[in-house]
Amino acid sequence: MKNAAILIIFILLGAILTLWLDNASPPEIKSVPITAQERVPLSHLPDFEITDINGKLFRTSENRGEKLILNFWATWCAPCVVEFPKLVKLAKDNPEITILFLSSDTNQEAISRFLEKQSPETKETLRNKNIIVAKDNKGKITADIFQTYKLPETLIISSTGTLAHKIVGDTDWNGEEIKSILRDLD
Amino acid sequence: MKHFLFAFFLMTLSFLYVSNLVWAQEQKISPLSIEKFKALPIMHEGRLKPIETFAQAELVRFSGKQSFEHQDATTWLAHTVFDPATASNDRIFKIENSEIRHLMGLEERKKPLYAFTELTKGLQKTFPTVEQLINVPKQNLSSEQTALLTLHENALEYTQLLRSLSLLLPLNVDLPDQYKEEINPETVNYLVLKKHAIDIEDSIRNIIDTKGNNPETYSEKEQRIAILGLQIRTIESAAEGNSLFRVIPSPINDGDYLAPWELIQSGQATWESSPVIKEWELLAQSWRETDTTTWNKTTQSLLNQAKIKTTPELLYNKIKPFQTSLIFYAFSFLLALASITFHHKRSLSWLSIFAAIIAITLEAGGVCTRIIVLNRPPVGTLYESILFVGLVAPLFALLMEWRMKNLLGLLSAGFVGTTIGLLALSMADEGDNMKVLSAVLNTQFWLTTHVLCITIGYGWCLVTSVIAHMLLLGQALGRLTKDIIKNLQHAQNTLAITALLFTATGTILGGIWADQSWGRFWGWDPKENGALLIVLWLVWIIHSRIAGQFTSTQATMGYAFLSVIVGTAWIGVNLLGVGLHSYGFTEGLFWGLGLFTLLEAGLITTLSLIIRKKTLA
Repeated sequence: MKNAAILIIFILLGAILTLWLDNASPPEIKSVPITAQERVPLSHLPDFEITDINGKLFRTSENRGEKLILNFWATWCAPCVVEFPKLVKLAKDNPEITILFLSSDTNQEAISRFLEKQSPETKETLRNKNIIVAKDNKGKITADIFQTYKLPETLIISSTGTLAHKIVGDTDWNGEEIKSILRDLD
Repeated sequence: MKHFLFAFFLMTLSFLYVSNLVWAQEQKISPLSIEKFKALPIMHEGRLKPIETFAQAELVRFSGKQSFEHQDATTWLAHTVFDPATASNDRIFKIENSEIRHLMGLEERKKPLYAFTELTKGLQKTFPTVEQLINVPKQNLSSEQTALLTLHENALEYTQLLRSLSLLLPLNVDLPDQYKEEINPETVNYLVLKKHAIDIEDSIRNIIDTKGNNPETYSEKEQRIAILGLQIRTIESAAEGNSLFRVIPSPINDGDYLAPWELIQSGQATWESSPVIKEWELLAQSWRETDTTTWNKTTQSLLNQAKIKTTPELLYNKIKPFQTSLIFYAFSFLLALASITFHHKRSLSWLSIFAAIIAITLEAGGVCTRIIVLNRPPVGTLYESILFVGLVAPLFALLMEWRMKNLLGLLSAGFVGTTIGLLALSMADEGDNMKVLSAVLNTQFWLTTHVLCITIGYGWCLVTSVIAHMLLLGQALGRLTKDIIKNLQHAQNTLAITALLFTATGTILGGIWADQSWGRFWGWDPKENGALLIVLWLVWIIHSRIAGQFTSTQATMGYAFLSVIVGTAWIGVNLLGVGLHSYGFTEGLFWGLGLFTLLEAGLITTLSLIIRKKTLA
C-alpha cells in the first residue's frame, strides 16, 4: 500500500511538472548561424620578398604593422581580369591598405600589356604607393607558400599579420560586406 | 581469508591479462612504428577520431574484419594511402553472395576475399545495372541487388582512399625535355606539375593552333607535352570531391579538418596548411623508403599540432572494454554456478564476485570513455542503450546479491551481463559505432534525463525477470528452501516497484522531451507505446499481486515475461519501420526476437506447469 501511494504521488508530480513545462515559455527556436564560426588564432604571415614590375623590392618583414590585401591573379584568368580594376579602386579608397597583386603569368610582358589596356583612372591609381604588382616566379610564393592553385584568391591580412579573411573567386570589392570587413580589420 | 587471498591472486592474473591488452607491443609487420601515426586525428562521420578508429571502421566495411593478413588496420591504411599502387592488390573485399561473385566474373575461393584490381572489370560490367538500381527504393531491392549496390559503394569509397594523397605521391610521368632541368623526375608529383600547368596548357594550345586536334600529326616532343597535360587533368578530375581522408586542420574554419585534395580544390589553403601538406608528403615518402628517422619525426610533429588528444579513444580501442567484460561476466556466471553446485564454496564465490566487479569496472570505463570522446551523455543510439543496460543491470543484480547473500544475485549479474554483452557484440558489426547524433537527439538535458531513466528502468526490469526465472526454475526443480523462495519473492517485488518507478519516470520525461523537441507530449509513436507497455505490464502485475488476484507463482510468471516485454519495447518496436524511432528493419533481429519470445513463453509455461503439478501433489 505504501509503495502504491509513493507511485501515485510520483506520477502526479510528473504530471504537474509536465503541465508546468508545457505552459512555460515556448521552445526557443535557434536560428542557423550564417556568419563564420569563431576563427582559429592563426600564425603570422610568413616572411617573403618579391620584386615588382618596376624593379622595386617588396618585403613583408618591412611592412609589419600595415594592413595587406594579397591578390593571386593572372592576365589569362577571366574573373581576375574582371576584379582587377575593382581592387585598384579599393586601394584608392583605402590608402592605409597595401594591395599586392601577385601574378601567376609566366611572361612579364603579358602583365605590362594588360596594365596598359586599363582605363586612365585605373592607370593613374596604379601609381599609388599602396599598390604593388608583381610576377611570381614559378609559383614560389603562390604555390609553395600559399598553396594557391585556383585563381583568383585573395587574402585579407590584418596589421598584426594574421589572416582576417580569405576570398576565393571574384567578389563585389566595393560592396558593403567588404567595407564592413575592412572597417573591422585591426 | 585464505579463500579471499586465493580469489585475489587469480583476479590479479586477470588484471594482468587486461593490462597486457593495453601495453602489448604492436605486431611488427612494417619496421616503422605506427603508434604515433594511429593517434593522428581525422575528421570522419562528423567527429574527430584517431586514425586507428577510422582505419578499423574502413577495413570492417570492406572485409568485415579489423585486421588484414596479420597487419592491424592502421598499417593496412598507411599502406593503402601511401603506396596505393601495390595496396590495390590487397584482397580486402569480402563478397559473400555467390550470385554477385558469379556476376562479377570472380573465381571461387575458400575465403571470398578479392583485391580491387580483380574487381575493376566486374565493376565496369555491372555499372549500368547499378545506375538503374540507385533509383529503386531500398525496400524493393532483392538481397543480391543490395549486395551489388553495397559493393559499388565500397569500391567507390576505396578508390577515394587510394587517391587520398595522390597529389603528394610521386608520379610515373614522361617529362618533356624542357621541364627536366626544373623538375626532378624521381620526385615529381601533382603539386609540382601544377605549378607548370599554365605553361603546359599554353604549349598545348600553341600545338593545337598550328597542327590541329589530331595527335598523330604531332612530333614526339609535342605528343609528350599533350600527354602530360592530359595526365594532369585526369589526376584532377579523379580527385574531384575526394573528401574522405580529412587529416589537414582547416586554417579557415575552427575545428574543421579537410582532405588534402579538398583543401587545394576548395581554395581553403593558406600559409598555415602549407607545412602540414609538406609533412604529409614527407610521411608518404618515409613510409615508402622505410626511413624510420623521418617517419618518427614527422608523425611526432603532426601529433604535436593535433587539436585534440586521441589517447582515451586509443585506449578504448586497445582494451575493447565491452568485449573484454563479456569474458569476465561469463567467467563470473560460471563460477557462481560452480559455487552453488559445490555447496557455496567460498573461494569460488569470491572469484565470481571479483570477476563481476572487473567486468562492471571495464563496462563503466567504456561508458565513461564514450562520454569523454563524444562529449555527450552515454545513451543516444540503440547500441549505446544496450551498452548502458549491460552496465546497470549487472550492477543492480550485484546489489541484490549484497542484500540476499545467496549467490542468486551474483548468478543473475553474470547471466544478464553475458546475455546483454552478446547482444551488444552482435550489434557492433559496423566497427566504429561512436555515432554523432542528429540535432534533435543531441539536446543534452532531456536526452540525459529521459533516456538514462528509461534505460535504467530496462536494467531493473531485466534483473527482475532473471530473478523471477530463477525462482520458477528453483521451484520447478525443488532446489529452493522456503526461506530462499520468500527471500526471492520479496526481492522480485522490490525490483519490480523500482523498475516501475524508473520506467514510468522515463516515459513521462520522454513526453516532456518530445514536447520540447517535436512540440507534442504524446504522439502514439511505437517507441512511446512500447515504454507505456512496460509501465502497464508492471502496474498490472503489481496491482494484481497486491489485490490478491494473482498467486505468487502467477506474479512470478508475469515478472519473468518482463524480458519479452522489455525486448519488444526496446528493440522490437524499432523494427516496425514507422515512427520517429525507426532504425529500419533488421531481419536477424526480427527472427531473434520472435524466437526469444516463443522460447520464453514455452519455458515460463512449462516451469509454471511443473510447479503447479508439484504443489497439487
